[in-house]
Amino acid sequence: MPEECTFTLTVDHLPAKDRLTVSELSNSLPLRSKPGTAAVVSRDLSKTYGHTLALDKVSIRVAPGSFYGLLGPNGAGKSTLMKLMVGVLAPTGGSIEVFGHKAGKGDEVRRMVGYVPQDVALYGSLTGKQNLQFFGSMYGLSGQPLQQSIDEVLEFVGLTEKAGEAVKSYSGGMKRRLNIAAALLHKPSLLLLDEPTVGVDPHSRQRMFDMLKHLQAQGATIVYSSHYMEEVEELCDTVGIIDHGKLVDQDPLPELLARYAGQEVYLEIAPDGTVPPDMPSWLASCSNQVRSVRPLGSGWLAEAGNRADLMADVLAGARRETVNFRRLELVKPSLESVFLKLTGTSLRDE
Amino acid sequence: MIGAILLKELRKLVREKGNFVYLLIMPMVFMVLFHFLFAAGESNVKVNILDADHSPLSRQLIQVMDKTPGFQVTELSGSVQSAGQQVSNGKLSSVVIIPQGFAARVVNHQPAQIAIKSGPQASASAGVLAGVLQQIAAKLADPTRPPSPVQVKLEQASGTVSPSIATQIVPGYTVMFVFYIMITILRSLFKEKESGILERVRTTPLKAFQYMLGMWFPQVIAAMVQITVLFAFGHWLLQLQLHNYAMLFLLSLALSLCATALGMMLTMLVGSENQGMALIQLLSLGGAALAGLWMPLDMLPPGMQTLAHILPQYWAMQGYQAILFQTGNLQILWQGIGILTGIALVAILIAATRYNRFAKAESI
Repeated sequence: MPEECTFTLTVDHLPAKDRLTVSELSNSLPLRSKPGTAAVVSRDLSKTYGHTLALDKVSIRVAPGSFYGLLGPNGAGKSTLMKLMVGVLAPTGGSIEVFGHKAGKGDEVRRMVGYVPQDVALYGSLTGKQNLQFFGSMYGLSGQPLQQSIDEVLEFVGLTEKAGEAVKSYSGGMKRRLNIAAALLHKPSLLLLDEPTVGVDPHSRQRMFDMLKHLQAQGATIVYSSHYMEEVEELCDTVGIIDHGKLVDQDPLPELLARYAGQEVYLEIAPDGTVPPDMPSWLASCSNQVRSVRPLGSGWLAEAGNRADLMADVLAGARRETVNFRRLELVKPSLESVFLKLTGTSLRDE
Repeated sequence: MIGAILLKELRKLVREKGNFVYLLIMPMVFMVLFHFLFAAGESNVKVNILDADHSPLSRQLIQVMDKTPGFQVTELSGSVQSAGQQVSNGKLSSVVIIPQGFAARVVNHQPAQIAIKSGPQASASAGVLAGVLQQIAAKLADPTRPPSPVQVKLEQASGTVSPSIATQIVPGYTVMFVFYIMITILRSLFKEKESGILERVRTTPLKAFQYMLGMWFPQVIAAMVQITVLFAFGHWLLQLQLHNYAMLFLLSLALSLCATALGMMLTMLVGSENQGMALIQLLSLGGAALAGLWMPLDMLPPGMQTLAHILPQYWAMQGYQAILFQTGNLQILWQGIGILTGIALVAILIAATRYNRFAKAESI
C-alpha cells in the first residue's frame, strides 16, 4: 500500500509561531458587503486589443462573500478580466457589473473595490507609511480616519515596525503584503487580487493566505487570479477556469472536482520485482476499468472508470504474476486533472 | 487628493538625487565654465557696423576692417537709434556707428568720432576693437597732417547696467536647463505607468484632471526653485546684478509653467520613454542654440534669428535680458510672459486630451 498520496499538493506550512493567530487578527478590518446582489456579474464579456481577442464572451458570476479563484495559464485573459472588473478597461462587447453597477463607473463603485495589481505598484523611494498615506488619500481618506486606517492595515499585514523605512529596502514578500495593504485602506467590499504571490517566499505566502482567509471570514468578497492550482485549491470556494480568453467552466470547487477530476491510480514497480514488458497491456489484462495509461515520472498513471475497482483488480493481478509494487496509490482529485480534462493541456506546461 | 499627489511628487523629487545633478549642478558648471571662456576673449570678433555716412571714406574703412584678420564684419541698415536699441535689449552684442558727416569732418581735419556701443557680451572685445579701428582710421585720414582727427569712443549701451558676461550666461543657461525638467516629468510619468501605479490610481475615485494637476504643479514648483537657485548662484558667484524682482518672478513663473506643460504634453504624445528623451534633447539643446542662450542672437545667420521667434526659450531670454539690462522695454517682457503662458495653456490642454490614451492599459 502506498505510504502517502503522491499527488496531494499543499503549500509549505509554517511553524505555528509564524502563523497569524485569531488574536492578532482581532483588530483588523470590518468590511462592507451587500447581501442579495452578486458581487460581480458579466454577460458575454469580450475584449480585443487591436486584432487580438483577449476575452471571448465570458459570463461569470461571483457570489457575495465568496472566494472566487480565476485559474488559467499566463496570457489566458485573467488580468484583462480583472481590469474590466475594476473599470480601467472598457469592454469591446457584453457587459460587466459590480454590486449591480456598471464596473468602474462612479465613485461609490470604486470605493467598494480594492484592486491589487499583478506588479508591486508602490513608490520605492517613499516609506511604507507614505505609500499608504498616498493611496488612502486617493480614496478620499484624510486626517484621523486615514491615520487609523493606516495603523490598522499595517498591523494586519505585519509591517508596523517597517512602516518608516523606504519600500525599496523591503523584501519581496513584504512589498507584496504592502501591495495588498494599499488596497484595504478604504475597507472595500470586493477585493481583486491579480496573481499576488508571484515571486513570494513560502513564509510570506502563507501569511498572505491567512490574511485573505480572514478577510473573507469578515464578509469580503475576494476574486483571486492565479496559475498556481495549489493556491486556488487551498483558498477558493468557487473556481472559474479560463483558457485562451474563454471561460471554460465555473462552479464551486467540490462540484468541479466531482464532475471533471479523473479516477486515477498511480503505480511504480519495485526494483526487484517482475516488470511486465508492456505495462498498458498488462493493466488492461488485469482490469476492464482501465481507460488510459500514461507514463509519469518513474511510474505510470492509469485512469479508471472506478479507481477503487481498478486498484483491487491490479492487486489481484500482481499477486498472480508476482509483480511487486513500490507504490500503488489512489490519486486525490485535483484541479490539475480538471484543467487537463477541460482544456486538453496541463497548466504546468504552459 | 491633488495635495496628496503634490506631496508625493515633491518627496520623490527630493529623494531622487539624479534630479539635482542635471537641474542644478550641470547648469552651475556650465555657467562657471562659459563665464571664464567668454571672459578670456573671443578668437574671432564679430563687428556690426552701421554706416550713416555712406561716404567713400566710410566704405573704405569698412572694407579694411572686413579684411583685418580676427574680425568678421556685418553691415547693418536702419537708424543709429535703432542700432543702439538693439544693443540695449541684447539683440546685438555691439555696434560700430560711423556717423553722418564723418568723412567731411576728417577731410576738414575736424574731430570725427566713431562710436562703439557695446553690450555685456562684447565688453571684453570692445577695447580691442576700438584700438584696431583707431589705427585703421588714422591710416585712412591724411597722414601728412597728424594727429588724426578720428576718435573712437567706447559707449556702454544706452540704459544698460554695468555689462557683465553673467548677464548672458546666467539667464541663458538657466533657461536652457529649466527645459531639462521635462526629463523629470517624462521619467516620472512613464515610471508611474510602467510600474502599474497609474493603473492602480485609475481604479480609485481620483479624476483624470486631478491626477494631471497633481503631477504638474510639483514640477512647476521644482522649476521655480531651480531658477531661484541658479540666479542666486549667478548673483553671488558671478556678480550678476539683479533688478525688478516682481517681474523676475512673473517671467520665471511663466517659464516654469511653459517648460513643465511642454514636458507633460510631450510625455502624453510620445510612444516610449526613449522617444521622449530624444525629443527633449532636441528641444532643449536645439532650442538653446537657436534662441541665443549660448551666444548673442546676432551671431546666428539671419534665417535662424527669425526662426528663434517660434521658440519659448527665445521669449524667456528676451524677457530676462530686458529685466537685467534695465532697458525699460516692458513690451517685450510682457509679450514674453504672454507667449510663455499661452504655450503652457495650449500644451497642458493637449496633454489633458491625450491622458486617457497614455494611461490605457494594454497588457492581456
